[in-house]
Amino acid sequence: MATTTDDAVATGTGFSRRDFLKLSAAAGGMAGMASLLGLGATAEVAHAATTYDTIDDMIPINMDEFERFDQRNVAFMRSRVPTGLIPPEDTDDPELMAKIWGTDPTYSFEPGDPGFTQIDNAFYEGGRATYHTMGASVTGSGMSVESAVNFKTPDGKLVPWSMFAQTSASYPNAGPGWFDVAEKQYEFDNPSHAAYAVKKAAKMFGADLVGIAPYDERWVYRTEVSFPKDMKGEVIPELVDLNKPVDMGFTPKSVIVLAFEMSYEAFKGGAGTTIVTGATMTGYSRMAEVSLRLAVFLRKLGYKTYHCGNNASSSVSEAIRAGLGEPGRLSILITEEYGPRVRLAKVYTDLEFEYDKPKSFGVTEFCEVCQLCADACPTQAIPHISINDPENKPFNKMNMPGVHKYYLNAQRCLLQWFNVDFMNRTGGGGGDCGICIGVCPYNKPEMWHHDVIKIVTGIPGLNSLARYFDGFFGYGGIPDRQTLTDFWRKDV
Amino acid sequence: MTLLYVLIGMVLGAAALFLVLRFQKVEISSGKRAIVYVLWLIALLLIAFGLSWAVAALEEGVAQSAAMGILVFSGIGLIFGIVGYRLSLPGQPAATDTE
Repeated sequence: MATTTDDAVATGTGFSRRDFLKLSAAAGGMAGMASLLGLGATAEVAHAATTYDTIDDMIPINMDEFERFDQRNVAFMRSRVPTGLIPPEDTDDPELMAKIWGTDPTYSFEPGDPGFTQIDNAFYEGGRATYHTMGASVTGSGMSVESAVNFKTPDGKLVPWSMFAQTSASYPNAGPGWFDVAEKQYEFDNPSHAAYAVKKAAKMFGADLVGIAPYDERWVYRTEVSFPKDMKGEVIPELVDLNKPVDMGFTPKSVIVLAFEMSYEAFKGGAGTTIVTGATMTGYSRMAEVSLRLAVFLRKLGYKTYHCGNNASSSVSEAIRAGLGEPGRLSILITEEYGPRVRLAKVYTDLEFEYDKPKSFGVTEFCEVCQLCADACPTQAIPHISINDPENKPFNKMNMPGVHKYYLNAQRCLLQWFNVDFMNRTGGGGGDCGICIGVCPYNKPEMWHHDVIKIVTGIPGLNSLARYFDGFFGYGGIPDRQTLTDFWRKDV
Repeated sequence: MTLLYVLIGMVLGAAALFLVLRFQKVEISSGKRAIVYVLWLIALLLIAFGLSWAVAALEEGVAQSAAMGILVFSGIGLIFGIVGYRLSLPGQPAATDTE
């Protein structure tokens, strides 16, 4: 081999030993730089975020307008009006509510349509099996609307049956006092140790994301709704309480927020149908299991707990405070890891920790230009307007006032969820829709090429490009009839 | 971690192709040498990125994304490569007046 470039050209070999060594060194140097860049890119750039000390620093809150939320104003509660358990209020849109209540004969889903067949309903029922078995153990009032089937104890007290079972002698491995707080309190080295240990336990128990925030009463419901049921499962009307104060039994110091990923495949191939309801209910089941496990873990360390799901407090607000994500246009939490495809549970405790900080990673800026969820929403419940538009304000009491966020028309959202008449005819769920979650560009599996796009969305000026490329590259579509028909037959 | 491996693969792949090209007897005038090498480097990185994207998208099951990845990223890389190749060609002698 020629030793110099000139020799190489003169002899026609085109390449010398010196050239080879130079280029090898250059290639090795480039590989080394790429390694350093890749290490940084993967861990830091793809998940770059701005952190804030408190939620007030991240999201403007007008305390003159802000009010603590009452659970009876949650949109799901309004759907109970036909039962007579919840009185109608002038906040209800009668035309919309007639469709949701099933009193409008012109509005319904046809049972047997793809996504609403027996197999889809079976998936839904299987998903909620654990939740409905355990859900009542998540405090006495249940996860959200549902309240517990109650046992009457010998002294005449009504106790949710699953709570009774936890401390019943009939459980051979539990027995009386199983759920009690241990007398000896475990001493952690410091708040950082406590946070590490509890988060580790939560993840081993089955949580996908864990964040911890200090207690802030503003985000706890001012009142909650209780529908105690008898052993036949029928609500005891005289015991219904629409204004029950949230009583955790102690003054918490911290809230541990748990996030659970829901099935990407269900939202990709089954959005808008009962398939999504099955994925959602699977999330509820995991909420019930893991929050109970974590609560028992803390109780056996000697700390008081109050574990809950949708009830007791605003889950999205607590998750934002715990640094799990940012609010999006679709009015739910958007996480870096799973987008909006998560369910949330909380465990309040009197243990203090080193707390996580609220963070933002460009969601609001991206949502301003994206609007894919608003375009796709079949009932136009999601606003197209800017977050800074003066018209972006609460629609009614179903929205929490005073918070700088996108406001959703919750009643219009429920139109696509269920129709009481349909549910009565099919005996199953109408579908938790989820189209907004399915089309959201943040809803992606954890793969490297989606991390690259996350980096792009964080670059000012490239949000629009990322938004349109999402569609061009085949993401974010709503499943068609054939996809729903094929869902249980092959990968869709 | 996967992103790290992708970046290493892209760079090593581009470097390997670059080495192959250097074995060819290519005479590039000194004035254009730097820009030709830069264009080739960008071309190779983009082509490698597009191929990596396609593999990941196929693994995910979204064939449209794989195809678009090759079209957009590798396609743009191809354009850079073609421009670099054209610049690397020796200049044509000026036409002379035969009369």
